[in-house]
Amino acid sequence: MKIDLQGHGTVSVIVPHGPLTREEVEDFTRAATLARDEKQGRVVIDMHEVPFLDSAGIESLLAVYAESATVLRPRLARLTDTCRQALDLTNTLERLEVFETVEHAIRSFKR
Amino acid sequence: MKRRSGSTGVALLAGGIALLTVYQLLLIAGQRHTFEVLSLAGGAIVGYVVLGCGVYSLAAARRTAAVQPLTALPSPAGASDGERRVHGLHVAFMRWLDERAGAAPYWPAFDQFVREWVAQVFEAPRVRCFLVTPGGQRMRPLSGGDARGELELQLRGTLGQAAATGRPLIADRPAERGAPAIDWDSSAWQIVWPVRESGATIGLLAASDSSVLSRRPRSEVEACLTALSVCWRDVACRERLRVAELTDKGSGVITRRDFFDAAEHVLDGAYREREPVAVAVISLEGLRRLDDQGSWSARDRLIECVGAAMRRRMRADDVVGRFSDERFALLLRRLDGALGTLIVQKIVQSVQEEIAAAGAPCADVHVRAGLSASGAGRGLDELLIAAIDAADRARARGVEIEVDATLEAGAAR
Repeated sequence: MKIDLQGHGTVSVIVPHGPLTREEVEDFTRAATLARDEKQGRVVIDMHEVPFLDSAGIESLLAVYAESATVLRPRLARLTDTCRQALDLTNTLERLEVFETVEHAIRSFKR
Repeated sequence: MKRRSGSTGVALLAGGIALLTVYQLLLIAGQRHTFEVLSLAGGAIVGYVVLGCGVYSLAAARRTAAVQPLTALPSPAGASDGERRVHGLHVAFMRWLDERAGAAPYWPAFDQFVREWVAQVFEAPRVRCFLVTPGGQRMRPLSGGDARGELELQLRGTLGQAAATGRPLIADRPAERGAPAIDWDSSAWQIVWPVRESGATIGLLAASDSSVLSRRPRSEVEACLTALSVCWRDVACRERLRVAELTDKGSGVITRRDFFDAAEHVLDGAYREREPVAVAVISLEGLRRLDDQGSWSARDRLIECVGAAMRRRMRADDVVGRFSDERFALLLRRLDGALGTLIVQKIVQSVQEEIAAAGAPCADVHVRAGLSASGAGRGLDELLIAAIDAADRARARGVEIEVDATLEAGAAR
């Protein structure tokens, strides 16, 4: 899976490209975990290029979010409709911090 | 003018036949009244009448042949620019209808037709067309989704106002150069035209960057757009009829034959994008008992409610169809077995609620579901058979849902 990494000051923005499924989840988990640990949880995952995700993808997001060693946890931004439905269906949407735009997600770390 | 000439023709013909008949009678009067003479005279009179009718019929046929189809008629001489544009629209629309083939939905092709026409007539390169959902709160593009991948959009801003009030917006000047890209709720649209039907807005046309709008009389612009509204409403009727023809009348979902067509199409698209799909079969057990008891109307109402409940739970690109008398088939896109199971659980719950709401005669009806998941690349028949087998296993085990994950596991290997 192609994953872009962008720096915005103290925050890293990860942009995975493609569906977050069982076959692709390993690359994503590795990249997201690395960025999360380097930036002490200040990570935004920009999901606008992820058309859908399966149950393995959802588990991966939860793992990256929940296993943060610091108080700060990664944010999700720009969820596609299908991803939002899947997260809502599994009652995981309320357990994650989701923002409409990457800018809002970055600013949430500065509060 | 045509009626008067037709009546004159008939009068002349009748008069001619009468004169010939009188002449023949006068000839007879001057001769002996033999049988041969009378027969000859009678035959001549009948001949005049038949000849006259034949001439009239030939003339009538020629007049009919002289009527040209609308698509071949030129604009009436002396017509104004606006009248010519309206005439041109009607001709183009009828040609478009004639050239349409197949049973595909009307809206995507009509979207292209409208964009091309507006771009040509108003020289407006930015054109967007929307369908307004019943209730008037949301809209969706006529063709596909928007750039954000959303299918339905909340109506607000300029478009929302036009939809709610039914009042169009026609501004003379295009937006200033360097203005930000127009979003669907922007005030930078030059034309926002609501298409109305039975007192409600059913569609919206938005256009901008027209360089000619300021040079056209407003009445002409409104006449053109009103004519377009007529075409739009025509397409709306045709689309409703097309959907009605595909729909199972009892349940409100598509018939089995159309389910197969639609599901194959969706499956091809899903596999092209390497997306997983899940196929579910929902069985209603106990419907036959309702028939045997004579509770036919309760049974029919239940089927209608169950179909509606399933349609509410479906996403835009899922497919649900009436598979048999007691079974519904569902194709769920972009879902693996685990997520598919969650969706089917919610569907089963909705159906159970409908059964409970239906009351006494339907209390013994039970719903069960079987689900199979694809991984990628499995055919529809294989998925359906696996889902049906899973539903049968659910019945045998007395559980609500049974999942066949073997196909998905096989694909993963």
